Amino acid sequence: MKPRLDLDQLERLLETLEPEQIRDQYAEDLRADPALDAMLRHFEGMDGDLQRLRSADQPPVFQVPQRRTARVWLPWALPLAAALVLAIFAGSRLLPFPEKSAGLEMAMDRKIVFEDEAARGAPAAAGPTDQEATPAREDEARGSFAGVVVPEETAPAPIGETNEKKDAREGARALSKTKEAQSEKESGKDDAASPAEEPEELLTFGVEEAVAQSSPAKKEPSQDRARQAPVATAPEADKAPGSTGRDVEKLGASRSGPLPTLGEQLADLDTARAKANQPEPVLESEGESDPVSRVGRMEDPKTQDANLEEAADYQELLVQPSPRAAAKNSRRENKASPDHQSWLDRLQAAWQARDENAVAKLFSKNTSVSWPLLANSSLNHAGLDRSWRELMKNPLPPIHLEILSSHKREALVRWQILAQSIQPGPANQGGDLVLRFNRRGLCEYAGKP
Amino acid sequence: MKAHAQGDPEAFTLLLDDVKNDLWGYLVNQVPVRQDAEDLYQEISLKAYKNLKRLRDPAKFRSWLFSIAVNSVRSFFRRKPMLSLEHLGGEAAGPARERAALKADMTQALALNEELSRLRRCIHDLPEREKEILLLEVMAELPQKEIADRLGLNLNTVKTIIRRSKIKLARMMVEAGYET
Repeated sequence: MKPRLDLDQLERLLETLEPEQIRDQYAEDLRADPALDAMLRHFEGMDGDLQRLRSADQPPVFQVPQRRTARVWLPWALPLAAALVLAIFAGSRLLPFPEKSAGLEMAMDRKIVFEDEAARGAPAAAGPTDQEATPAREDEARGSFAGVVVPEETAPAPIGETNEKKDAREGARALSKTKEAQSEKESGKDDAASPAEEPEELLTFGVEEAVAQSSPAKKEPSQDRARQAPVATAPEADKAPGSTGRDVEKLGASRSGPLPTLGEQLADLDTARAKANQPEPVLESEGESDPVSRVGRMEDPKTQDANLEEAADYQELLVQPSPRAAAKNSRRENKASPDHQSWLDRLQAAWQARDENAVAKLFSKNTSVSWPLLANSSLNHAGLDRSWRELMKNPLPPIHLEILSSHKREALVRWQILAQSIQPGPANQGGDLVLRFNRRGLCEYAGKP
Repeated sequence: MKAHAQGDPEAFTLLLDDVKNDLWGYLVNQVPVRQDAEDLYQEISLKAYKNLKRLRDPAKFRSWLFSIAVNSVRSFFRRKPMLSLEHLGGEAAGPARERAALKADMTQALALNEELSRLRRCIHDLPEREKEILLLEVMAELPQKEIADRLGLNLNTVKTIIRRSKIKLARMMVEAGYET
């Protein structure tokens, strides 16, 4: 009798027998135990199941790594790119722009000085010689700041040390504007009227009048507008013949030494004041364009509002150079020895008579001032405004100071000129006006010492 | 292989195309966790890609590739103890990552034929040696002689192991209650 078949015995049988043989020999046991039959059926279909399992699902995608040959450019491209970046940075530092711009800015200031001379009646044909230029350079070296006294302890740091580059950049910008204006003037000369038709004194009170005043027929409307937005302008075709080109370059080159500090500039105040009793004030010179006004005039009137919005941006760039330029202008005026008392008297009379033309004449050239220009508190001009009102209260009627142009450099320059112009007058009873600048060139205080 | 040696990036892909299904079948039935099988697939493919230049006889690419696969799977199980499906529901089922991967594997298995997925689980429960030889014969389609040579075994031993593995699978299927 055969032992009863079970799974263990069937497993052993399958190692030696084929399933068909087992079915033949153990048919009864297979019918008795379905598991045995199921095991046999699983074994019989195992090969097929395994083959189906083999192709059951798809393999993942193998990403072939990138060949190194694809990156053969890296060893030389990356260093090259780095070298290019370094070269760009280095190149930007090596550009002679700041130094060149500083020289141009200085040359422009020099040019302003010579234009003043020419306007005062200096021999235009001869132009400023080296001998004439030398005292000017000496004055600049001393940094006299005519009519303005700044205490030594409050003198700012040397101008140009911290913001010299910005200063120079702005100077270059202003010079380019000046050149553009000159070229425009030259081109306009061909179309303009004869010199006899040129305005005798084109100092007006509005930017729009810079053009409008060139035509006498438009004088009245421009004066009306001037009451609202006064600004100084300069007459055209009034350049000193000898004050351009070579002289400018020469003078720009002469400014190679260290920039004078404000304290050094003020050191010559007494000297400058002693020269202030010369016969004719420079304020009434005619036919000379005010560089300051020229800068303001070149500003598109349409952009005035935009400039006002951008005033804060200009502040650092534009304000700082102004003391230097103002010092030069003031110094030249003091050399001319204006009779400030008589000038103030005439200003008072013109002001009380509301004769804007007469007032404008008093502010010709370097002092061609649109005095409503200092109300922008962002420049700390509130103190200046108050001081101006205080100083001008007696004998002159109070002048409302209102910033006309957002060109703050211009504003500050003009203010300084105004301050020194009235300084010897009775308004402040001969006292000094102190303009105190911070290291950034901003005026922080204006008033009596 | 010459194209691969000359730098053709598509050459290895073409070589692998003939073997990739078998390799994947071998791996996915060797390793219970599908994600591990995928990692092994990439690892083996990369090894083959890097070392293909060492293969002198291109006709033996399949055998050579599965040799790499066998060694890699062995190394895998040395690094990581084999996880039995019987332990999936228990506390000792392993890290959460493996449980999640197994769960995903199970989900995919549902898409597969139910009977095949059961068979795969049974294969996973085979002893390591028997599973390896069976899969080399069935999935890699390597000749038994070559399997014997590769594994240093007698040919008859290989044949016996393969048959015994199939018998065990059949019994496991019955004991698990799987109907044919």
